[in-house]
Formats: sequence, C-alpha cells, structure tokens
Amino acid sequence: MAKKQTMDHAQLLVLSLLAGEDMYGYQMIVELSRRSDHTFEMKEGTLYPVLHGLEREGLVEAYQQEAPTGRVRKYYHLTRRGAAALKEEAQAWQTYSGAVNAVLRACPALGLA
Amino acid sequence: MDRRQYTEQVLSSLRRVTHDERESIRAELDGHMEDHMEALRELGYGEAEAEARTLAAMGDPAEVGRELNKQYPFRWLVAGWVAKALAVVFLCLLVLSLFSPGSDRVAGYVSERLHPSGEGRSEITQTAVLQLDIREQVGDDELRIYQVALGEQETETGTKTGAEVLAVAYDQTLFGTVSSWVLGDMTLENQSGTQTAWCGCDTLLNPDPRILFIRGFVETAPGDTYVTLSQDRFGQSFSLRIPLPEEVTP
Repeated sequence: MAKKQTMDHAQLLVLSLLAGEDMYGYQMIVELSRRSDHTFEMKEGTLYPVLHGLEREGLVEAYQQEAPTGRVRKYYHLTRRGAAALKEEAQAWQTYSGAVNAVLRACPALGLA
Repeated sequence: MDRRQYTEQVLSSLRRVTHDERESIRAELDGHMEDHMEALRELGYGEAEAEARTLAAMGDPAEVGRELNKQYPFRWLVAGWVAKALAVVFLCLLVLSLFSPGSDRVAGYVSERLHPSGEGRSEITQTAVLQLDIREQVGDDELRIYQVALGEQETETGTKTGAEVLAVAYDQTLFGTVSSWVLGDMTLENQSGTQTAWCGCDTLLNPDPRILFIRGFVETAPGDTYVTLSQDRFGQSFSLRIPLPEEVTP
C-alpha cells in the first residue's frame, strides 16, 4: 500500500515552488498563481504560517538578501530533507489523485469515461 | 485599516515569539505588502486603491496571526532559552579555564608537543649542538628526540666529555597520559659499546602527566659520529642511531 499523505496541499505546493529556485513570499504567491493558471489564489497572509512551519521542521531554511532596489527580502531555500519530503509526498499525491480520478471516471452519471 | 495596523493585528496574536522573531515577522509582512502594492502601482492603481486591494488579498489578520502562533509552540521558546543558557555556561567555563592556574600548563604541553625545545634542560657545558627530529613509536607513546649536544658534564667523579640527548615523550592521542614506565629502561650507547641508562627527568618540576622530558648522557671519544639509543622490553625493541654534531675545532 502506498504511503499516506501527511502534508497538506499548501505545504506541498510551497515545497514544489522552491524545488526550482529560492524565492521570497510575494514571489511565491505570483508564481503559484501563474503556474496554476490562477486556480490557486490563496490568501497571501496564510502563506507565512506555512513557510514558518516548514522552516521549523527543517524542510526549508531562510536567509536575507538585498534586492537591487535596496530592499532586504527573506528568501526561502529547500533543504535536502525538504527535497526528500517533497519527493515522497508528491508520489503519495499522485497515487491519491490517480485513485480519485479512477473512481470519478467509473461514475456513469459524470460521463467522464 | 492600513498596512501598519494589519501587521500589528497579526503580531498581537503571537504569544511565544522572541523579540527578534517578532521583528522578523513584521519586516516580512511589511515587505510582502509593499511588493504587492508596487505591482499594483505599476498597473496604474493609486496609492489608496493599491493598499486596499493588497489588504484584501492578505486575508483576515486574526486568522493569519492564529495560524502563525501555532508555528511557535512553547517548547521552541524553551529550547531557545536552554540553548542560550548552555552557551553562557560554556563561555563561563571556557573563560575560567583560560584564567585557571592549569591553563599555562596546557599551553606548555601543546607548545612542547609541537616544538620541543631544549631551553633550560641541558646540564652540560655545550661545545656543539645539533637540532633533530627523530620520532619513534613506543607502545601508545611517541618518543621524539629533538636535540643532541657535545660537551662536558660535571660529575662526582670529575668532568666527563660526552653526548647529551634530549627528548620528549607524549601519548599519540592529544592530551593523553604518557606511559612513563614504557619509556624507562632504555640505554644510550657510544661507539665503543659503553652503555648508560636514561630516564625521565624533570618529573618533579613538571608534574604534567601528559608529557615526559627525557635526558641521557654518555661519554664519547673524539671522532665519534653517533650514539645509539635502544630498548628491548616486552618483545618491543628498537635501536636508533643518533648522529652527533661536528665539533668545532678551536
């Protein structure tokens, strides 16, 4: 049996964003909206509890960096442990979403088959 | 509500954060809202409209504060205090050890181990000196011969001309205790076959159990070019040929 998902979707999405490059909070919101074609438009303030929780768990780490405009931003970086967790959770999500799709396709009333 | 009030309301929910964490969260939220407003300004929004839209996008400050507060459990705060307390204790111990009477002994040990010097340990009137670095493993210890000198030694039976060999011994593990009994029972022999025992000296002057100063003396004849240090004990044996310095002809 596949591993059960332990991470919520917001955590999984944040980790996947950081797999490509280090990002700061607002950049993540913009990128998430762009990649999901505006499907995921979370309340922006709720991103920070997710990020700080991941930081506490050691899945991401933060550092300060000054932008060319002079503004200092807090960037987040995916740790090795975070990358391993992302891989595991992404596989669990694929299994889960595949199972849901299979059940939905088998529903005659939906006509998805 | 403006940006400042929004941030204050989020921060008012945080019960277990340190001053630094609070200020870091403040800067992060302020920076986020500033980024969002700048993007809206670039799209042509006025200041008031940009701020209103940004605040709407941020969500309920009470909810954000509540969720953030959950990420700072009490145990993390305690862990932070404990870590700081341990760091202070460690620093105090370090400072105390540096100023304690034994600290110069530690420095002396390290110095002798790295660069042994014969200063003050020679008991002869030297006519020629040769600095060496001959090392031999004896059990768990390292014996390091660092100086050989020719000269005259005053004895009860008169003045003798010969070679004085100076060495140190220490455990191969840093700060380990040297096994002085292993290092005893060695003989220093000249080219004619005359043997003398040599043993640790200065042990009373140097009570440090981690290092042993050793001195040996054997008579030599003019023209001798080496003396031999040897040991044969518990199946372990070695024989080291120690070159003598060239005598300066007056």
